[in-house]
Amino acid sequence: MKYLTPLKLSIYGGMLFSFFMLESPLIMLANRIEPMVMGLPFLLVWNLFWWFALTALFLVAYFTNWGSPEPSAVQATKQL
Amino acid sequence: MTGSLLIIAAFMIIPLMVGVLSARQSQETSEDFFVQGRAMGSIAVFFTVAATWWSAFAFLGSNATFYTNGPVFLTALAWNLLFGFMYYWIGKRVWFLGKRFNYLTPSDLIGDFYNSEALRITVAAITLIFTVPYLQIQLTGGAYLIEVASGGLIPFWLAALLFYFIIIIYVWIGGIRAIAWTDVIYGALLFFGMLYAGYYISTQVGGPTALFSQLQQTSPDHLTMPGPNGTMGYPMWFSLFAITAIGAFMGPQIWLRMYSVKHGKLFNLMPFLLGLAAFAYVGSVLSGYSGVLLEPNVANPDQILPIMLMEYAPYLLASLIMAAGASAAMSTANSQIHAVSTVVTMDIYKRYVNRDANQARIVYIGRLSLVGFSLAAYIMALTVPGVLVTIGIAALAGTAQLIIPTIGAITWKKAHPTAALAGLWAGVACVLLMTFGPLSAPFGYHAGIWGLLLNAALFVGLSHALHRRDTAVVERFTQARYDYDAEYHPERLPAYTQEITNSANHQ
Repeated sequence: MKYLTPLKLSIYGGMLFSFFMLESPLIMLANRIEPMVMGLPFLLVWNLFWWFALTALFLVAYFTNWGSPEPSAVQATKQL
Repeated sequence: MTGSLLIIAAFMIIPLMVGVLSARQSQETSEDFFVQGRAMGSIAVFFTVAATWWSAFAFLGSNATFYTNGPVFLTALAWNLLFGFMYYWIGKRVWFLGKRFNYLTPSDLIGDFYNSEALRITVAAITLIFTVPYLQIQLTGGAYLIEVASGGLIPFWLAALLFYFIIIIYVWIGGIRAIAWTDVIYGALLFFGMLYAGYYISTQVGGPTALFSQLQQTSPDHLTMPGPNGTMGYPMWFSLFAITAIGAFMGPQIWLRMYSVKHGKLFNLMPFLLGLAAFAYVGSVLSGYSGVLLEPNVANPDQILPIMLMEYAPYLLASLIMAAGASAAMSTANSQIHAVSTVVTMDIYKRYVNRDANQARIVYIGRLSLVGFSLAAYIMALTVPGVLVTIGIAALAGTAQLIIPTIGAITWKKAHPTAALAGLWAGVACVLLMTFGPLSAPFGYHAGIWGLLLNAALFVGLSHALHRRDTAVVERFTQARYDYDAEYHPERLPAYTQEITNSANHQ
């Protein structure tokens, strides 16, 4: 854990949390039809919401090199 | 009818043309035939991974599950994300080691790290035994769709035979390159076919909003777990999530798609792309649930989508969407046939029959294996009955067991061959006994989950208890892991210094 960068920790923490909301027994709290959102049952909306959050997080992870320093940045630091 | 037959003909001929075109770039080497010389580009990688991963199980099985068992298949959104995450986290490491040590099969990596022939043979056997049933359901699903789309003019046996011949021809001439190119077409067809089929069919009941409103009135059990039959609660929700993603990811066809990648950077993007593609399951939600209102008494739920298409969509549109479904089957079947032929050629023929085989001979044996396994799958498609999802999950539960020794090989220097072997055997035995034998899986979780737990417990426990003597192998992999982290995760390098310090203090 101590070798994770803060950014990496945030990204992986966010992913773990999103998976937890989708796949832990907590999903049974969302296992209902009402309240419907835009005509869709609540369970479907819950799944779509966390699917969207996690997919967006994967995109953030891509743009930030999954929280790891770019090799070029590391080399530049070493040269300094 | 003529239009439908033309669509089916195009569906059969286009892959052949693509195969011939791709063969122009092929070289007669095993590395080119099996992993495209480890130089597959980003577009091909995404489409071939997505199309291979999405199968008849996704196209037909998803609709059938919403239709019969309610919302449990919604967990597919999460299992796609898990699959994407594993492709990045595990796949990139497997790719790196594959490139460094010239691996082509799962047995290559696991057998090399654990330095064990018994483990190598076990892994090869698991990949072969559990991939063939999954291959059979692809042929069954695809052939059924062609039969329906042709209005019965092409019977099931002939449709499956056509599948078999076409796959053999283009894989024979183009290897994995031909598969990847055809998968670009199949993948696009599959994605839009699933979404459009769902949307179109739901318009027959007034659109998505009206669909859910009517379902809430007439069959509310379909909208919440455990579904109308009362059998698909949380345990199955979690089991499907874990087993489907891990089992498919550990299939030999996906291993080849890790080894084939040209640049490591591509792995970083794949979770996002694969996650995004999962939106197509919304189409399955709509078509499966529409079936509950429109066709409530279909005997074989796997047929609900084709039946509704033929009943409610214009004939040409129905044929086109069914061709998309057949694409799902074809794109998985071609990859599986190619992958099992790779395992037979490299793990059995090259290692135990003819160690000195030249490149041309290896490719030739690979092609012969294509024919053999396609034939086996064809015979099974004609003779073994079964529901797509049931057979699919049982097969995936078997290959899922490989995840434990794989994670050990890429991350843990203490991972012990005896522990890996004991864990694998126990995990597979657990799956078989609980699926086909006298034991029943406790608490409603699938046998594959219990297999994984037993497998992991034995693996970790025995690895802590035993000590490896082949330090040269362990050090070779430690060095490779260090090089991997130096290139992609430089923030982890102090961990290695700490490890050396701890080891010195311990001594």
